[in-house]
Amino acid sequence: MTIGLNHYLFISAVLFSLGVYAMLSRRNVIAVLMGVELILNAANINFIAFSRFGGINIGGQLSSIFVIVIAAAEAAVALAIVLNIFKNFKTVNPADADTLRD
Amino acid sequence: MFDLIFYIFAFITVAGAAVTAIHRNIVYSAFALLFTFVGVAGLYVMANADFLAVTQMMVYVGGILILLIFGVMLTNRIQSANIVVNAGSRPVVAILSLGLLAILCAAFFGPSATHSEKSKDGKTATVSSWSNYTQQPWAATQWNKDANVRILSEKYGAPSEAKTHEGSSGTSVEIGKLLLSDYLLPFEIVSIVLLVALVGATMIARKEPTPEEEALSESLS
Amino acid sequence: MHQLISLAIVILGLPMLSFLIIIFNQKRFQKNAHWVGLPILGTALALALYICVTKLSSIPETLNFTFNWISFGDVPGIGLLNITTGVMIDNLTAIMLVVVTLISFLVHLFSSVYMAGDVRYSRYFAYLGIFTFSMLGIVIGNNLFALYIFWELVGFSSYALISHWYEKPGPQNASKKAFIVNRVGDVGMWTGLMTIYATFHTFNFSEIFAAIHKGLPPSFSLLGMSPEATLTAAGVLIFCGAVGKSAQFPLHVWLPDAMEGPTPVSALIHAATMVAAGVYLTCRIFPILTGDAMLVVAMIGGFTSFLAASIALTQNDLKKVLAYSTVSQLGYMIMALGVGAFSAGFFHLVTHAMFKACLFLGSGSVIHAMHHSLHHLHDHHTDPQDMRNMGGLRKKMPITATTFIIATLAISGIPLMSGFMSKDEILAGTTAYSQLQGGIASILPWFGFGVAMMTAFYMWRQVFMTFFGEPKKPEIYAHIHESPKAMVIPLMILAGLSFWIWYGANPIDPANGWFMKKWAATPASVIPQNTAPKFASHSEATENTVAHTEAHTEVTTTTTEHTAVTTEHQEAIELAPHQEALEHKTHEVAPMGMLISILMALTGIALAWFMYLKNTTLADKLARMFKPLYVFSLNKWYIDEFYEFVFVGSFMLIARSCAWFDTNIVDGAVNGVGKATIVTANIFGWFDKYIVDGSVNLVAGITQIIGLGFRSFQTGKIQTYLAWALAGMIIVFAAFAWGWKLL
Repeated sequence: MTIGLNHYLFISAVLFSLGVYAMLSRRNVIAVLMGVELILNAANINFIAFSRFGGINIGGQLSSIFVIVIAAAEAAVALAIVLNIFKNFKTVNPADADTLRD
Repeated sequence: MFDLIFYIFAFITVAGAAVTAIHRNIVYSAFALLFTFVGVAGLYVMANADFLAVTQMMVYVGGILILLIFGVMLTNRIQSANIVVNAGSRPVVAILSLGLLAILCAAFFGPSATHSEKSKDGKTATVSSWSNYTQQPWAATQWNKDANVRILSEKYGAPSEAKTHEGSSGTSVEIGKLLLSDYLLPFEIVSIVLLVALVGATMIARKEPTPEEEALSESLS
Repeated sequence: MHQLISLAIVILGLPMLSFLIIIFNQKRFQKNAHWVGLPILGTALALALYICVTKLSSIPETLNFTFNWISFGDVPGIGLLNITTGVMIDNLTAIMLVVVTLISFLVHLFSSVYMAGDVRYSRYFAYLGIFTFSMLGIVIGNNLFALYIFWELVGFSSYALISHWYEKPGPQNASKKAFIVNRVGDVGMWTGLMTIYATFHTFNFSEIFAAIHKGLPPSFSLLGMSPEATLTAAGVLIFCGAVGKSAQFPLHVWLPDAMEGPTPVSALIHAATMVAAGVYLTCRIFPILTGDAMLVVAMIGGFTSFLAASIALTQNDLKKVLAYSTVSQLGYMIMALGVGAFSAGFFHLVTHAMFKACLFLGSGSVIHAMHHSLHHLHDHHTDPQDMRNMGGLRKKMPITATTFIIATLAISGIPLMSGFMSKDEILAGTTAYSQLQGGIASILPWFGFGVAMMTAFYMWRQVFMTFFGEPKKPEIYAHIHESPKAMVIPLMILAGLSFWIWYGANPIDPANGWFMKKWAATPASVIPQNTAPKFASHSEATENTVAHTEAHTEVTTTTTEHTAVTTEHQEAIELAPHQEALEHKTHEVAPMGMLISILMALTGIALAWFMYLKNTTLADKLARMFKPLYVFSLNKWYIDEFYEFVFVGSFMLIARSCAWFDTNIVDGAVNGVGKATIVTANIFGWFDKYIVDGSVNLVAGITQIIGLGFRSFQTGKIQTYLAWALAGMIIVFAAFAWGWKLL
């Protein structure tokens, strides 16, 4: 079978699910961030796939570029937050940082 | 051959992602993430997005991943048992994720993504709604120049000679043109967002000044 | 207020003064309480003698002093209601004053030696004082209510004196028995009092008599009985008090037991005065006794005298014999009053008081000597009161023996003695009554004469066993000594008073002696004619027809006598016809009765002499021969055992069944209610806890569970929020994917 849109979509779906899994299950905030990166990559794969096989052409790639930029900003801000969390809670477990409950 | 390479990249991507999501050791996860990023970059290449593949490698592997590893190192000592994080056996989350996968697959390939179509011999067959995309010929590594020229010329008139770079196999030119034309505003906004995010990250992450330092800074000001 | 009334009140107060002085200074008078008691009683005796002489010689009318005691005002439904009390001095009172103070004084004197060294010497004299006070109160009261109060005081002081040696179980039980048995009689007495008071609103003797003489109102009714029957009942009920106090059958059981008290107390209380109070009471209510009531009184008295005499035959305890003798003689008096021989009954009361006090004090003297002898021998086991340990004492104790024998002659009814006179009159009256009344009363003379013989027998048996014959215990006999002067002087006085001369000039004609004729004349009966004895209505007719020739002169003499009587009583009530008939008959039978009585007494003495001096083995032989009778008598007819079984036993049974009822039924009911309450409360509690609270808690619980459910969303964990968001997203996706089509 010729490599087509479906293959990309499937890989992106798997990547997205794994990202979600990592984001929900990991006990380390940085691992959670990694899950977020996986999700963003899954989204990018979709953009690229539709750019290649769909009707949006180069626009998909441009969107991917914006996503990558946002991801970089997100990573920077998130890591800053993580460092603050670690400083305040002495932990990187997101389950322990549950003061939002109160 | 082409398919094989695709599958290899796909495997690297998915396997890396799986290890990233599942492995207990955060360092291993970060390392597996490197493979995923590389794999994804490979997939980009396979999809004729060479510029993006390079960007992926530079930003993700060289930037974000390094940033993440810095984070790991700042929050954990290597020898600490805290590095080993209980990453697995969260059945609910696993089920949810699998459910999500199923939903996505259903959305991509399920009944809603198919429609009935009469074939030439008069038989009704169920075909994917993406079929018209897949039917688009695989244009090898060559970007459909004509198509692009056609689109651009429709908008901006006939392209200049310089821009019609014969034999040029890349999207850098096209992307650069678009970023400074059609996508100028988003481009600028994103750059400002990036700037703000970086300044903010620095602001957040910086060490709280001690009272002495505060007093010193006040006296200096 | 007449001078004599004032003096009587002084006499009443003197023993009380003695009591108060001693009881509040018991320690101080521990050794010499008699120095308080003797002068005071001596003064009282002197005053009493003065009153008696004055009253009997120069004041024919009854002195009466009445004052309002409690005024209830105008009581609704009754009208003006006052309880009055007061002092009355008639001949009876005057004589009784002397008797009581004299014997009390002599007993004080006797006790000063007899009780010397006792641990509660002063208290003993104090109680003697309050007893004398109570007894005098009975005597001088002019109404039933005052009499009743002092009556109970007498009972109390008797109780206190019997239980003088309360360390020992005998006196304890005896005192309780005396008190309780007396209560039985007093209940009847109180009921009788109230029966009379309810109608006549007075306790005063003369007012009651006057009211009854006027005629019985229809309202005079007890438990729906007719007025006549009620009068009988009232008489018998008041007589119940006398039955208790004078130890008449069936309440005689306390008196022999009361001998547990000190012997002088027995002499004072249980021989001379207190037991005579019952007789005195019967004398007081004599005018209102109906024919039926008199029959009851006579039968009880007659039977008691026989019962007690038969028991006395076999007793070996010196004091027990005298005790049963006392019961027997009291029965005599009661019988005399029952048959209407008022003068004879009261006469016997006085003479008996003298010689029986002498006998008791004499026995006390003997016991005192025996006690000292035994004490000398360090013998604490031999009974000093048992006659079988005595014998031949007259040689060692001549004065005691002589006085004792004189008194015994008196009680046996030997001519020239006081007892002969009074007993003879009683027997004559009884015979006359039985002949007139007939029927069941015919047995009374048999009782009377039989008892006369038995009395002579057991008294002389006692004399022979104690003072004659060989000493049974020589070692004890060796240490016997005559008692001191303080003890023998009372004996001599009392023995002297046992001669006839004090009561009438002619020793064989007591009826015309001054005591019976002038001092203790029969009061007129006030009962309605239809309640009088049966012989009342037709007696005059029979008298007139059968004996009209010989009796005619006597009738005229009696009427002249009655004029004397009427001058004595201001009320001037004629003797009732039945009384006159009885007097006639008594005169008729008197000589015959006298002969029989002397014969009986001599027979008794001879028998005693034969059995206990001449042929000493005969008594044991007879005892073996008539063993059932002997044992029956020795065990006092088993009356105590019968009471123990029937009354005490049934009372205990009732008490136990009441206790059972209490514990099982009453307590059970209470506990059942309690348990039912608890069960109900538990049910309600359960209902409250599980149904009411449960429903409330259920609402709260549901809220809580829902809250818990929703709370689990709010974990504060970012990943959980994400998971929920994802789940929601999946649902939305699923809805879009399939649900839309289903719709």
